[in-house]
This record gives sequence, structure tokens and C-alpha cells, in this order.
Amino acid sequence: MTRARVAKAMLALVLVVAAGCRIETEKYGDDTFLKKDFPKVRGITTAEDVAAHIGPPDEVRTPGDEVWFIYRYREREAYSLILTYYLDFFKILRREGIEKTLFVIFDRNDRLLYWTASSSPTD
Amino acid sequence: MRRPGRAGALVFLGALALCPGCGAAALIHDKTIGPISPAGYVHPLVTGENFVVDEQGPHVDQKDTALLRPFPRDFLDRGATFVPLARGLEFGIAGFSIFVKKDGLAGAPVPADTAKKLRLGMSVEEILALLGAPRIWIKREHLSFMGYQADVGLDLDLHIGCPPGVSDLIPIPGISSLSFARSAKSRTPVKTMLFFDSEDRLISAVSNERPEE
Repeated sequence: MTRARVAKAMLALVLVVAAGCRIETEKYGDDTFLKKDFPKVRGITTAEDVAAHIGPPDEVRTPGDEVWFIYRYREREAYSLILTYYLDFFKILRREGIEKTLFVIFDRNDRLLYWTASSSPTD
Repeated sequence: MRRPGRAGALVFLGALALCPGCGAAALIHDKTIGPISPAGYVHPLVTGENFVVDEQGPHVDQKDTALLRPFPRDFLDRGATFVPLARGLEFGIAGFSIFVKKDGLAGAPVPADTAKKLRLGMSVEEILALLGAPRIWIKREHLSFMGYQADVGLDLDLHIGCPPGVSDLIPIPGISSLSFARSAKSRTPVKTMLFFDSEDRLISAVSNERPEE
């Protein structure tokens, strides 16, 4: 059997095995704050220090005298196997999603007050 | 006692498959060969695009539905204006393509060469003249900051097998299932934050890493 025939047979086999499969991934946001750490000394660390280490925030809020730096990152994965003939007569779906959030709070002098991080499923 | 024969079982299964309300078989029959089938429409209610409901129940104008047509009757009219025509062409080309890459940019990022012109001590006026209006500007007693942001989008689609639109034209059961699809979508913000002192002088500028192009 020639190499071309083997390649064609392999391609056909892959198509048959993978028939109806769909894989989707989605990523929203900048994940730098998940990869890098920032100084966490209350009353000493400044907003500039935090931004210099993990980048600018996605959102800034100023409730009262405080400044909140909010970082968000979301990703989703979906796997499906669907066999169709006008109607979907066989379907397997699997979805996973996660949203990660970091709040860093500064006082009126822009010194670190506290921080909190969360990770929650979205699907 | 005589056991029911194979013919009886087939009659039972046939009746079960075609009787109203039994789902898939009746719906597929009606959608594919309903208008020309000797049995006519098997299912008591075939909903299309033009059904109405009144006090006597739902009614369907079946002669104007898209049965036996892979595309709606007004398919060409839908591209009568430039925008839907362009979208339709893009969708068509993407639908027939094995690999599709789409780039997008929402917002105005700070260009890398412009960011190099930033100097510590620059005034707010100079910054605004150089970069334009920020997305966010927060003035405070000790420390003020401006934020510039844009979202860089990247969509990658790989489709191996029969394209979705084409599969509707090929009368082979399950042909649309003979495909593999992989898609990846990302929206990455490009952010720049400028910090100013109480006299509105630039004291630092921070940017995140730009996504690879």
C-alpha cells in the first residue's frame, strides 16, 4: 500500500471517528492577575505597585473614599457529539465554564486596605 | 397459543412510526416528502414559518413554507441591501471554508509607538493631546488616573467535513454529521493606565501584555 493510500485511509478513519464532534473554547479577559502575584502589605502597597505587577484593572470603582481595582477573567469550554438527520437524534453535550475575579481595595491615600479573589463556575 | 408473526410486528412498528404524535419519524416524513407523499401530512400539526393561532387552534399555510426547499423562498430577497448581502457573503464564504480566522478590535488602544512618547512629568493637557480622550478618568485628591482600553478579538474556526449549507443539498441521511469542528474565540483587553499626582503630572504609566498577533 502506497503512502498516499495510507494517508487517505487515515484521514477517512479520523473523519469517521470524529464525525459529529465539535469542540469550542472561549476566553474573555486578561489572565495576567492569575499568573503573577502582587505585593500585599496593608497600608504600604500602593495602587501603582499593584498595577505595575499585575497590569491595569478591567474596572475601577470609587465608592466613598476608597478605590476598587477589579480584575476579571472568564473561560468556557464545550464539547459536543451530535448526529443529525433533520432532527438531532443523538446528542451529548458537556459544558464547563469558570469566572475568576480579583478585588483590590485601596484607602483614600491609595494604600492597600484588603483584597479578595473568587472563582466560580458559569455553566 | 399462536405467537404474533414477523408481519404483525412490522405492521405494529410501521403504525407506531407513522401514527400522529410519535415524533421523529412523522416529522421527518412531513418535512421531507410530506407535500408529495401519498400519505400526505402524517402529523396533525406541522409548524412552519407561517402558522397562525386563532380560536379554532393553530393553522398552517403549508404552500408557502420552506418544505422541500433547503433555503427559504425569499432567500435572495434577504440580500437586497448591502449590509445583509455582505453578511451573507461572509457567512457563505466562511461556511465553505475549512479554516476561518477573524480579527476584531473594539475601542481605541494606545499604540506602542505613541506610548513610547510618554514622559514622566507630562501634564494632563499634553497627555490628552497625545492620546485623546480616555475611557475612564478619575480625579482624586492625592492620585488621579486615566484608563485607555480596547478589546482585541480573535476567532479561529476549523471545520473538516461537509459544510453545513452544502449538507442540506445532499440527500444522504446523516451527511451533515460527518464533520469535525473546532472553534476558539478570545477577547483580550489591551489596557493602559496612567497615574497623576496632585498637580496633574504623570508619575507612572502601566500597560498589560498585548496579545500575540
